Amino acid sequence: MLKHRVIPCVLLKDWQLVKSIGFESFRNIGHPTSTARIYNARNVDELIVLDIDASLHDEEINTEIITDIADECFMPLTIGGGINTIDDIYKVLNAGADKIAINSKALNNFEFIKQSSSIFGSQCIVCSIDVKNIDGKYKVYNKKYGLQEISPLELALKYQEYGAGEILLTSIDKEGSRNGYDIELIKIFKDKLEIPIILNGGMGKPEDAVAAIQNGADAIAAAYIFHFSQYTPNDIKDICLNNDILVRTI
Amino acid sequence: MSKNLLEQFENYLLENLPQSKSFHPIFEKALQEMLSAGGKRFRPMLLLSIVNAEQSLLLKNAMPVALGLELLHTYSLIHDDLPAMDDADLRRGYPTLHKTYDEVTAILVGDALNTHSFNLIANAPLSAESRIELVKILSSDEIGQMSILINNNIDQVKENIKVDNELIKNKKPFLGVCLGMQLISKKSYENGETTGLGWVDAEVVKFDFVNTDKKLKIPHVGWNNVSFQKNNILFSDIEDNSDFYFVHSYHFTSNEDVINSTTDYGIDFISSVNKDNIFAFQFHPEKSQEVGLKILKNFVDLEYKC
Repeated sequence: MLKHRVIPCVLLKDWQLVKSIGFESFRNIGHPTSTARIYNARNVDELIVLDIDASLHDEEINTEIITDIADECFMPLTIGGGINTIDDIYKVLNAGADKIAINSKALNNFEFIKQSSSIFGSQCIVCSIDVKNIDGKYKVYNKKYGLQEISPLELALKYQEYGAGEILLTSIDKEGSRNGYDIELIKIFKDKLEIPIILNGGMGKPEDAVAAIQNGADAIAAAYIFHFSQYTPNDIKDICLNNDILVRTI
Repeated sequence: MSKNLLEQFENYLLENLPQSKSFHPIFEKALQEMLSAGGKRFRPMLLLSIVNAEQSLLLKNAMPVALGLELLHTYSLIHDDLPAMDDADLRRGYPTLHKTYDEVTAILVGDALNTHSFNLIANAPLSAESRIELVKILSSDEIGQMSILINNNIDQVKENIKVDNELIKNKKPFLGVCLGMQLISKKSYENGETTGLGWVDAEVVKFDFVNTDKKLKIPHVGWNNVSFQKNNILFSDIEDNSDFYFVHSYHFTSNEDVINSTTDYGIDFISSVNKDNIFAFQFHPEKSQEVGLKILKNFVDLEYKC
């Protein structure tokens, strides 16, 4: 049977890996290659790295560092940030990534999703959606383009229709908060999508993963818990197993 | 008569070479070069001869169509010579376009000729019905596109025979991963129908849970058990039902006795096959950490004896 995945999701900034709180203050978590090596040794299920320099400051995607990270990864690696053209996808895949996460570019250009998934296959294209809770209503938020009209679920369904293979759903309010995933948010998505959904933002303790998966997440992503708490990915999996959630154990 | 016809065509061609007025220093020259380099002009001559025999009054009106045919043919030659295809250095005794200029120029000239051929036909002094019919025939699968595709596929097939020789005759070990497994089937239904290498009697189909009560997601992404069905030398020292990493929407189906393992995702699908020196996995050994690296090591250690 297919297992639920526990995935570290970290940010790349100034050649360092960082962890953000609410997308704003950044805390250094170490050198990319040594961090990737540790994750690999701990048998994490996947690794997601988002290059925030490339996405926010329109800088060139740092393929050099992606190659270094990929060299350490004998697990699947998803790279996001600054993907604007088909050529960018070629570059990042050639650097060693297995999947590509697209955010800003997809928002205004569903055709780009269609084009990229027809070239590289849906299994390679992850669409990333960031959500903010504004007065009790969930809104799609983009760092470049601000709040959007379309609802998070509608946007995810559009992405699915145009060929996305997975959705990476991040709650900005919960991101870095350590007080658990946005369960109300994931409930909206439960059983609505035909493609897997990775929930990101807020894990502070292993039980949070259980709640997220029970309410509809296919996989969970996190960063804080792996770097600034006593918990390891395996602690999270142990709690999942105790709650009859299938996860991979080594 | 036919010499006269050929002369008429050559003159028409030289007077009507495609033009590209731009600041680009070499594009126009490149665009005209391969056309004026000569050649048999077989296609336009065939057309003009028929017109001459049937409706000689229309000969002049048929000239743009004849030129269109030659342009389309020249385009196919230019692209055919590209490094990604035949990688040819010479054509009609002259250096190929990508040799004289560069690949980008050769690709763009080919594209321009392709488009311009239809422009010529669309503007020919013929009835609207005739022009539409001509465009239809030239662009239809049966005649226009197919003949180009078929010609190129023949080269591809020759290439395949080389690989087949290495694998089937010389028994070189082969390891296919994910799409690399799907390629060795006879046919895949991903985005239409595509012929595979055909080393294994198999087809590749999409997961389909529409008529089942299972609401499983597609693609099948993540770690799943691999249940061994047969002894496979590459599975040695690996525990049965170990988790491997999968990421795919299409899977193998086969009745041939090659199945090495299956995996449960709504159905028990074929997750690896082995036939003589050919090994193929739907999952990613290179992304499955220790157990995956063990498979790769077993493959490298393989001293294949045939």
